[in-house]
Amino acid sequence: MVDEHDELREEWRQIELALTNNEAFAPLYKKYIQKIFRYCYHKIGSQEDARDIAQQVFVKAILNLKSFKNKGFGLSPWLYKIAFNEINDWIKQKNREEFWINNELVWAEMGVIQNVDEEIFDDQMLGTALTKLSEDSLELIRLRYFEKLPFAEVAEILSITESNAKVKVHRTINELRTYITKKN
Amino acid sequence: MKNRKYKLVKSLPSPNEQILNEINDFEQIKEMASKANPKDYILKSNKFNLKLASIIVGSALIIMVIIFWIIFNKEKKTAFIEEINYKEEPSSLLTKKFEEFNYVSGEADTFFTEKGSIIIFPACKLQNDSKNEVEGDVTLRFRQFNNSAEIALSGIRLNYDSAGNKFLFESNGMFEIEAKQNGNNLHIPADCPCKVLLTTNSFEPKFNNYFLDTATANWVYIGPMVKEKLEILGAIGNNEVLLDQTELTEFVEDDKTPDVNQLELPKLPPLPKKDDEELPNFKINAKENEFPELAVYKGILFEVEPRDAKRSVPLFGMVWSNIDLVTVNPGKLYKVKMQKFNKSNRLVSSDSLLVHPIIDQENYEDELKKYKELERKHKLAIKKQAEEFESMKALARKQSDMAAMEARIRNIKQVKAINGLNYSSFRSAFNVAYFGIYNSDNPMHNQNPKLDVTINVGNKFDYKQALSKVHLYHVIPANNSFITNYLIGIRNETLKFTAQPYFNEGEKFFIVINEHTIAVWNSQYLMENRRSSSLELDLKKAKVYKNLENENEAVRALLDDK
Repeated sequence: MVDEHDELREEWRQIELALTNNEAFAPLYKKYIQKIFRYCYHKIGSQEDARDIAQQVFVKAILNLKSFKNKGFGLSPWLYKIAFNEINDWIKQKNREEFWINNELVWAEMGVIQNVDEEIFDDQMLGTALTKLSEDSLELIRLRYFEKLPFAEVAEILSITESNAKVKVHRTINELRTYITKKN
Repeated sequence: MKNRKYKLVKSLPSPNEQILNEINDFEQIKEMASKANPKDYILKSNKFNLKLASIIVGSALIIMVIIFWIIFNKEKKTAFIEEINYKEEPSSLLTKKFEEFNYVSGEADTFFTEKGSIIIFPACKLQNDSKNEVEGDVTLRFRQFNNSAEIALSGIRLNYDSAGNKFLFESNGMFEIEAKQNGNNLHIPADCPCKVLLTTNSFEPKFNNYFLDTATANWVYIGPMVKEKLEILGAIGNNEVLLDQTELTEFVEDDKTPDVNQLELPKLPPLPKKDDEELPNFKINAKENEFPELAVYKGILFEVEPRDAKRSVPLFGMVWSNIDLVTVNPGKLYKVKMQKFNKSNRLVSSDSLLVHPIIDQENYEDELKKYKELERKHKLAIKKQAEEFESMKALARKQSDMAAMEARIRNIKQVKAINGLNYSSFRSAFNVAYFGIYNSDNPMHNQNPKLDVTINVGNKFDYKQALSKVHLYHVIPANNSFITNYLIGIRNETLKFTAQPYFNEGEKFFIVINEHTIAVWNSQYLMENRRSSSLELDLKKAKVYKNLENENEAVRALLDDK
């Protein structure tokens, strides 16, 4: 019960230190900045904007670290949640209506669907299918497959239960299969 | 969430190097954070939402009305759960006795406790409440808690609050140390901490050191656990070893070989020469405070050095405005500086002569006798000094031998083995800057409780009164250390509370009813009554240990119960 959480404990120790000294946040920043930048970039398609948003995420994290509550996952879902909200705010400000799905990622990360029905699989078609999903469903797919987060963390970010996250992902994949099958 | 349009792109270009460099620059983030107005960076979930707040306040009012209605309209009162303030300190239930040692304030010393822990004091004087150093005998008091029962009964708080995040204990061992003189508490001087090498249950690297700050009633993180290795010289019988504690003599003062140069040597002024008829001499008034070496003798004159003798003759015929005497070699050689100024006070001429002191003929014999007497006293003083020096060296050797002997005595100390403690050659090292309570711990995060526990107390239970506020402990003896406690209130016949979901065979719950009575639910009973998310405990089914006279009986009751 204890040993498998050594990394989390170390992270928690770093958070404790960072509570009194911003400098101590450096290892946490180094650990997560690439992931958060990548998440932002793949969602909005602009490197410069993704950079700005990712930086804002970490400034907010440093300034609000006292309000962070460790629920056993470490800092990861909290940072994704801030990033998720930051991107939504950015979308509202920019009045954007069009967003990106990187087909390369679809191809690389969504083998789970590819393997199910190889004959009918077409990555372009799967990508197209993703564009038809609701924003909620697409976010689940992004976090679970593109960001490779465990269900528990996905659930934490989207403020749903873990079992609900599992059910929703399962339904979304079925939805995608149905779309692809129909198109074929 | 509003549906948006998504565009499928074949691929997104990799981020360029400049962007990557910028995002990897933590200094920039730090600077942004330091300049930012925190009000502009409040997290979304923390922002005040008037609409949401209204709903919450409204709902809370409705719930309160319902609760009051239930409480005041029901004939039989239902179970009541009262979580006692987290900050409230649990009271000491059974007092574990201190081990006492006699320590002389200011001396380097090492003490060995019954459980094999080692206390090392450097040569620093302890201080009283007024921060004045104290001397003489001091009573050093030490007690150590290693198993879950000892920790529970100690009354030491078992919760850790780190910036609002609550943790429970998984203690690897605790100790309390204090020092008293004439009943008054003493303190460790700043920058001169003592050291405690604690025997612990485990030496896994996961533990950290904590100090209990009684002012804030919370634990203070000191640093990660530091293991200190003592070389095992050999085993003696079962579970007993010889430890090489030579290194512990680091605080024993080293061989203090005295430095002869530091001793003050008696001074003997040289005897001035007799006058030389071929050399000119003269008298200058040498001030006693400037030339003490000359003041010893009467009839002092200054004779010109042979090399300046010839050229000195015309100088004696001149009238000098100013003549100064300067020391070259005290008692033996001096320089006479001569200056001449005109009416306008401008220097028109200057010269100097090397001279040595002599005693005039009239006084020479008397002064020679005086010198002989001074020389005799000087020789005696030198002899005495040499003897004193030898004596100091002998004392230093003795002290050094004593230190070595002490070290050897320490080496043959046997370390008693007690079940559950780690008697390897490792000790967990603590730098003890304050007397108080210390803990080697790995705090477990207090997750959302999931297990609902109900205790049926029963109408006729004798201890109902005592149970108005109880400590309920969950002991997980897997590594003989993990323990959680719940400080709860109880009313009527039933007590309900929520506990950690961890629950395995071998674990038990117990409540301390009063200082002589403990009720324990054993593992088998707990396993049989545990449901997926609830646990019902009947006090009638608990094994109640009454009339416990001392902590050993209590600990045995808790640990030996099958």
